[in-house]
Amino acid sequence: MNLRSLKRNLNINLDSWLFISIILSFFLLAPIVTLFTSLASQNIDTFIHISKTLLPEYIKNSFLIALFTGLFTMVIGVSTAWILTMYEFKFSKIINVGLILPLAIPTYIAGYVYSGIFSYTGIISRTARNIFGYNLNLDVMNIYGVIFIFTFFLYPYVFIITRSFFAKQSLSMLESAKVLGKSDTQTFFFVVLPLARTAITGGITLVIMEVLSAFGLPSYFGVQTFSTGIFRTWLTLGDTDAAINLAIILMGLVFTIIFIEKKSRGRRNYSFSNTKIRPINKKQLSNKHSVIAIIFCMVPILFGFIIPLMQLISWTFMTYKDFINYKFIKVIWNTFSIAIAGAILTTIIAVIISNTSRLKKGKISKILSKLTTIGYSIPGAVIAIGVMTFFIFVDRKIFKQKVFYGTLFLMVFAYIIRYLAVAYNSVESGFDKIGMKFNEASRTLGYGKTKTFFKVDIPMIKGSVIGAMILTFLEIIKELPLTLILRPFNFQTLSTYSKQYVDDEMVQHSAIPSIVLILIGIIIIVFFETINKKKEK
Amino acid sequence: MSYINSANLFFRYINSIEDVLKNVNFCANKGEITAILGESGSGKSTLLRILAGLEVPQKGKLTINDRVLVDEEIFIPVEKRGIGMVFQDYALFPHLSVEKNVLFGMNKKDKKLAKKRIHEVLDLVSMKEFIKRYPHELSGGQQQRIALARALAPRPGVILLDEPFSNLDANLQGRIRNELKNILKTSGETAVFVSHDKDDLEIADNVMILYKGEVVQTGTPKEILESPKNEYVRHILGL
Repeated sequence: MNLRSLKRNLNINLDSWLFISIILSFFLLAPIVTLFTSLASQNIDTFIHISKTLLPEYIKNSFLIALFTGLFTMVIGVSTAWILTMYEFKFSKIINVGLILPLAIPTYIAGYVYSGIFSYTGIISRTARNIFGYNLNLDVMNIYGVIFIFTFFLYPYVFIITRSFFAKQSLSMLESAKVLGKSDTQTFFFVVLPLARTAITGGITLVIMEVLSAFGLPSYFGVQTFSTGIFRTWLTLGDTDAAINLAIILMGLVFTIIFIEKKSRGRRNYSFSNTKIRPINKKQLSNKHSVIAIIFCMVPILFGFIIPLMQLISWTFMTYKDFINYKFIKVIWNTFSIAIAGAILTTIIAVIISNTSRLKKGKISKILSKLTTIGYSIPGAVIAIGVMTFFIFVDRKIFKQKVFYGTLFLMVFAYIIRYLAVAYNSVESGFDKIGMKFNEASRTLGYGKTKTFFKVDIPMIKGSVIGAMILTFLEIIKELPLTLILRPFNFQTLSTYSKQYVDDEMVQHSAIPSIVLILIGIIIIVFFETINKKKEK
Repeated sequence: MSYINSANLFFRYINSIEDVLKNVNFCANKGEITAILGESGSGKSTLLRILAGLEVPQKGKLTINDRVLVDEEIFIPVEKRGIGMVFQDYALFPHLSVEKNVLFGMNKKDKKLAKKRIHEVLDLVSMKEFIKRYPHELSGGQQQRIALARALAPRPGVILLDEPFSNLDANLQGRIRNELKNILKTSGETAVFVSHDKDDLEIADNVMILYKGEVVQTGTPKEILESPKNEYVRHILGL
C-alpha cells in the first residue's frame, strides 16, 4: 500500500467525530485504569490484611443484602406487573404510576425516615407508649432494616422492566397454553415466567447494582458493606491502598454479576419474533377481587412512598422555619447548577459518542461506546476514588501544584463517567428510531457529517436528547457517595445537606432537603410516565 | 466515453465473508436513463450506494464526467460528489416543510435565485401548491415527487433512484413511471435507478442485469427482451 492509498483510507476511516470520541473515551476511562495501575505499586501485605480482617464481613453482608433484596424485589415487582398487565380494576391507572414513585425517594433518605419512625421518639413507639402503655422497642437499624428499605424502594426497577415485557407479550401464547389444558396459575409459572426471565433478571441486576453501590443507607444503619468499607478505609482509616483494593474487588464483583446475567440468557430465544403479536385484552375484576388487587398493590406504595412522604411532611412542619434562609437557597442553587452542568455535559458527550458509533461501521467505535458506558455499573464511591487518584496524579506530575484537586470540575467529571450510560441509552434510542436514511439523504444533498448532525439529526432526536438530560439530572441530584468524596470544602448539595443533618442527630431537619429532592423526582417520573403512555398510544 | 464509468468494482461488507459486488463494470451515457435490474441480494442497491458515495468499495475505479471519484488513492465523499439521490422511502426531512426540503441542498447565497429554482422544480413535478405543507401531510406519490424535486434542485448532473416505484400501489405505478420519465428527460439529467420489477424497464434507455454481484447482461430494453442471455434473465423478465 503506497502513501496515497494510506492517506485515502485514513481520510475515510478517521474523521473528527472518531478523533474526538477517542480523546473523550481516553479521559473517561483514565480514572478507572488508574485504579488498576495503582495496584501494581501496592504492597501485597495490604491485600492480605484486608482479606483477613475486613473482607469476610463485607462479603457476607453485601451478599445477604443483594440476595434477599433481589428475591423480594422480584416477588413484588413481577407480581404487581402481572396484575396490572392482565387485569382491569378501579384505580389501576393511578396504582400503575404509584408503583414507580418509590424510585423518587433515594434509599438513604428512606433510611433516615424509617429509623425516625421506629426510633424511641418515633410515631410507632410513642403511640404504643402513650395509648397502650407498652414500651415497644423496634430496631430497624440492622441488616434486616437495610433489606426492607432496599426492597420497598428498589422493586420499581423490576416492576418497570417486567411490566413493559408483559405488555408486549402475545395473547396467542397465553391462549395456546390454555388450549393445551393449563390453568391460569400454570400458564403464569410455566409459560409467562420463563419467557419473562430475561426482563426479570435484567431488573434484578439493576437492583443488585444499586444495592452494591449504595453507601448512605448501610452506613447510617451501621451495616458494613463494600461501599461503606471503601469510605471507612479511605476517610476514617486513611488507607488509600486498602480503599483502592476494595474498590477493585467491588468492581470485579459487579462485572461478574453482569457477565453471569448476560451468559444466563444463553442462546435461548425469549422474544416473540416468530409469533404475530396480538395485544392482551385486560380482564375486568369483580368487586371482591378488585379490593384484593388494590390492597396487594397498595402495600409497596404504602411502604415505599406514602409512609415516608407523610413522615417527611410532618417533619417539614416541625422544622421549616430553620430553612428560610440564604444558606438553604445556596444549597438548592448548588444542587441545581452542578446537576444541570453535569447533565448537559454528560448528554453532549453521549451524543458525540453515540453519533460516532452509528456513523462508523468498524469495531473501534462500538468498543468505545461499550467502554465509555461501563461507568454506570461501577459504584459511585469507586468512580470517585478513581477520579481523585487520577487527578492527584495529574496535579503532581504535570502541574506540580493543586489545579484540579478539590474543585467542582472533579465532581462533574465523575458524574459524567457514572451517568454517561443513562444519557447514552436515551440518545441511542433516538438515533435508532430515525435510522440512517435522513442522514444519508442530507449527505447526498451536499452536507458533511457535522452539518448534517446539526441540521438533520439533532432536530429529529431532540426529544431523546432532552430526555437524556432530564434523566441524568435526576440521577445526579440523588447521588450521594460520589458527591461526598469529591465535593469541594463547604460545598453542599441537597443530598449531602440532608446527610449532614442526620450525622448531627437532627433527623427531622433532613426532611426539607429530602422533600425537595423527592418532589423533583416525582415531577420527572410522572412526566416520563405520561410521555411513555402517549408513545404507546 | 460514457458519462458514468466504473471498472472492476469490488465490495464486501465488514465482518462478512460474502462478496456483494465482484468486479462490476458499469457505464451510463449522459442524459440517459439506466436501469439496474436484479433480484434482492444481487448487489444492485449496493452498486447504487457506491455510485452515491455511501459505501466505499474495496477495489475498483469510478469516474463521473471524467472526474475520478474512486480509485486506489482517491475517495470523494458523498457530500462532495454533487449527485442527487431519491431514496426508496423518500427520506424527506419530517421537521421541514416542502419548501425547506427542496431548498436544503441548494446554494442559498442568492435567495431570489434559490426561490426561483424551488418554484421551477416544484412546477416540474406538479407540486407547486404543496409548497407550505409538511411531508406527513402528503400522500406516497406526492412525497416521491418532492423527493425528486429535492434531488433535482441543486442541478446535480446525475440522479440516482433506489426502487423508485416499490412504495407505490400498483394503480399509481404506471402513471408515476411515465411522469418520472418525462421529468427526467425534461431536466436533462443522467439517471440511474435500481429495480426488481421488469415493468420499470419501459422508462429506461439502457439496462444492466445483476446476479449475485456479477453483471449478467447489458443492453437496451429491446435487446434484452428479445434475446435474454440465460435462464436467470428470462426469469427476471418474466419470460
